[in-house]
Amino acid sequence: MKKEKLFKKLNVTAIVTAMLLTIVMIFTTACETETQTETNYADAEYLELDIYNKYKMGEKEFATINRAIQRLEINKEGGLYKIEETSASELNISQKLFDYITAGFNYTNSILSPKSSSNKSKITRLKFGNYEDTYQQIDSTYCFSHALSAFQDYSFNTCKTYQDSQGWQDGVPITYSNGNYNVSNAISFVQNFYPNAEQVSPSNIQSGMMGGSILILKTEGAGGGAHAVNGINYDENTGIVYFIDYQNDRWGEVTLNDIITVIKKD
Amino acid sequence: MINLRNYMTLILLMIGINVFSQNNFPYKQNPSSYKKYFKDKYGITISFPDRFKDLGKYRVNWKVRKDPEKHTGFLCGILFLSKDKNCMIAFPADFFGFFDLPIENRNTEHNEFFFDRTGQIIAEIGTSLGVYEEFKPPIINIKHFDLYQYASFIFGKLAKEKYNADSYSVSSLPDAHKTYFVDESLEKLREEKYPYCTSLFIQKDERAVLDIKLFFTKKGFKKKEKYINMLDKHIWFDEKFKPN
Repeated sequence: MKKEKLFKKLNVTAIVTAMLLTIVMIFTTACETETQTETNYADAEYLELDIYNKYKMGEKEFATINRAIQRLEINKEGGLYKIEETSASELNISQKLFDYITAGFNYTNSILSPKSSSNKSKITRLKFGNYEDTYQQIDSTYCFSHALSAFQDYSFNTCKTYQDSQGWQDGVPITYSNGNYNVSNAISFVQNFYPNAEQVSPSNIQSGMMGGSILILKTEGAGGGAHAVNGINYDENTGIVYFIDYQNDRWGEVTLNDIITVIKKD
Repeated sequence: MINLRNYMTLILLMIGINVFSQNNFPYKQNPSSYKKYFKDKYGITISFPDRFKDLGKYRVNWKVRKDPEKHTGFLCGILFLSKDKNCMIAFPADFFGFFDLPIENRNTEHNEFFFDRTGQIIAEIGTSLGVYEEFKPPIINIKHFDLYQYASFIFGKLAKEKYNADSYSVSSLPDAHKTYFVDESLEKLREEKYPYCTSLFIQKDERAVLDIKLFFTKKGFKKKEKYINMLDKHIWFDEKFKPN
């Protein structure tokens, strides 16, 4: 029971963290601009949230969080997010809001840097000669680059380098707004390596083997989260799509409703 | 140093759809065709134990949990039932091959004491426990349980003697009675008689990983080693195999 509660708690934290992360990605440029031109928020509006329950938050709360994050100076060092400010007062936001945001980033960092996890000792007991290298790869959140390199023609590092060069950061290069996904960057990404790549609607997937396809899956329910895997087989009788997830070294099954889109390499 | 683990080749995925029609697997639905495919493709000789009979079930989806939100699953290629009916074995629809890699990805230190399918093992156990966070790196999830309470990893001599492999893993799912076959008749059978499930992963470095599921009755589970041992030398990685 405790485990389930912990999991639920983590899950909620992860959702909120993902939202914060998304906001940071969107507003990174704006954030930098603001910190360059405005460092004193004494005269700015004091920001505070009435509610901190993610499930009860609405547009107003998220807008306030957005504005608060834009006052932060956030740098990425060693792949981890670092908030330069150390107190809420210098940002003219409430301490609770400041703690809420920083806790989200701390959680994100714990995901991005699982080596710092206290659980590492449990893994190293495996005595795998090169498990440290495995850590490096598992740490990666470049699921789309993993899926693309699974086609065997280009290495993971080649795909990742291209992804970085486009400013898409890690994860799946799509955007989400008002219930709609924009997957044009993801298609462009694949077409850079496979010019004949094309998007296929999940409703048009044909039963049978799915060689050479990337599936973009919905994650975390609503909110635009996504994950990239490789399709293996679709069974129209059961409606199940069987996939392999190279980032997480596992395979699994989803239904068509879980799929945002499919990109076939040619 | 690039790790081969993340560039492993999913041969099935890469098989051109021009070669096989959309609805067909690269082998027919019979044991002989199944065995030939893996012999030719991966250099693995399979002989199904005499004490098992073909259930006539092919390409059946199986999931660790029926819950649609829990994605961890497995595509069975062919299923067998022991003649004493205490053990049902599901062989995979395909293996995971390590060859045919891009040259750039071959510069690896995939050499010894590395078990490739650890992520899948963690996902299966974590999902069975209900603590698996879908699509998060396994390292996150393992915080919630002790992997070694459920799984054993064996490297070296024993793996070579049993399968001419480099390593193998045996892991029993903690809540195996909650697993789920998508096939209705098979699920009915599992639900009524087979509440235990053990995964057997067999790895030949730089060749392939074979994933087998064994479902047990209560009586069978008490002697699961006996059934696992029945597969000894029935799965054999040919020593001098060269992929086409």
